[in-house]
Amino acid sequence: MHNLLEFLKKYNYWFLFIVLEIISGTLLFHFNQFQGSVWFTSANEVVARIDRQYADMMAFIRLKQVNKDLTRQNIRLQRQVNELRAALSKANHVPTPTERQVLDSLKGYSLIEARVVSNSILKSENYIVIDKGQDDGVHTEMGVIASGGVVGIVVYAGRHYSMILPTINVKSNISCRIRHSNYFGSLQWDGGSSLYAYLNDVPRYAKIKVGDYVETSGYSTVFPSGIFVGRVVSVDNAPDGLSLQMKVNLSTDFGALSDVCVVVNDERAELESLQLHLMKSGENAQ
Amino acid sequence: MLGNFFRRLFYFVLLLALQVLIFNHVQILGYATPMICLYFILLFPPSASRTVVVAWGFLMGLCQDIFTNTPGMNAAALTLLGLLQPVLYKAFLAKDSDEDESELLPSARVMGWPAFLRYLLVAVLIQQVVFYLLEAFSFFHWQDMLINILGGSLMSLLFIAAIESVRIGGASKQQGRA
Repeated sequence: MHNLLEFLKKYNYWFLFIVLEIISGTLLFHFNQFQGSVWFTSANEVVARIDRQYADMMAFIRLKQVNKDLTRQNIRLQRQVNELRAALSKANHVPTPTERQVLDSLKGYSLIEARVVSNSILKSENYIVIDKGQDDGVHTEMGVIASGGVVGIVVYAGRHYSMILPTINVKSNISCRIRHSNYFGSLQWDGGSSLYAYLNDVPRYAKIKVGDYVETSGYSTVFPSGIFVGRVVSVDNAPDGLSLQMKVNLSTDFGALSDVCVVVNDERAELESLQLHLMKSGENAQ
Repeated sequence: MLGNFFRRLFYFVLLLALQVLIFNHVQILGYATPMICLYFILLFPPSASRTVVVAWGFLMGLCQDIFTNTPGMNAAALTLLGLLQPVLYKAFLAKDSDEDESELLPSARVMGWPAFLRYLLVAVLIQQVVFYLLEAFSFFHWQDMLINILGGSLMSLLFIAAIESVRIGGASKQQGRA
């Protein structure tokens, strides 16, 4: 007994080592299950505030480039306005069916503007933190878009900051379709370059050309349909041989992301309660 | 004893701030992020309790993980380094030193630069290999991992050696004045 106590006293650092490694391992493998784990991510208040200072500083340094981009965009938009005004004066004032369709697809959605405070593109599990949270109306499972297209989905909303699972995270999975053909598949990322992702599970008989546009399908309530995702770069057979796998050049530049919008679906609660109701009635019928 | 603790805390905060605000944003062609936090672990004298070194290692790793969204990876790597540090230091310290070894703080002056760099290299390699192996657990790109480990080790070695030379340079000036 005495020897045992001596042994424990002499080698107590081994026990501490094992305990701490077990804690590390638990954090590593259960990160996504832990609801309380927000303390261990950069969405925690203190860390987000430090990151925000850093992001503000970097934004200030980048102002020159941003100014140049804005000027260029302004000129482009002015031109477009001129063209559109000319087109409008020609066109009939009764809205066409396509115009009505576009308006309908954005009806019921509103946008919350936010600034990116921390971002990563080099890891296999990238996360983005933005400076809007529950107090601003952001909740989990809301879609996030930028001027270029789809960014990702909110996975945790704190009071003032939220964490986003971007398209370029191996855990990301977004339902997308090919514009004008309605074949749909799921967009996944393989952990390589932040410029490309893969559209999987598209049927083999689908006729898809390189250069086709990929957009959100709107099958979930997260994104409205028709939000731009990217363009097809190459079409291959999937490893399982049962479907096509397309390499998609993502339209969002994750390396230079600074301003994003969170998509709020005003009719979402209604839609979800309807789906729940349907599921229940289905069970009852059986 | 208390002064020792506060000096340690000062180094802890300073190195963590440097790592989080500067070095985490350093990447060469998308690889090779220097990891300078482990320098903190390397500075413990052999007289320090091994339990204390292990605990500080875990704390340092955890703090860095919180900033980089890599739960447990740095913590695991630095805890291991905390366990191995006293052994490594003893292995690389020249045997013919007359002074009481247990009180010698590891530094390039005490060990000599060649021995200190070897000590540093082994420590950096251990940390990088453990960290990237844990990261690769979920996704495996072995070429990327190898470039990351080698590039990261080289960058860490370079920056820590630079910090060390500044530190012992500053110390020698203070001694000169006294």
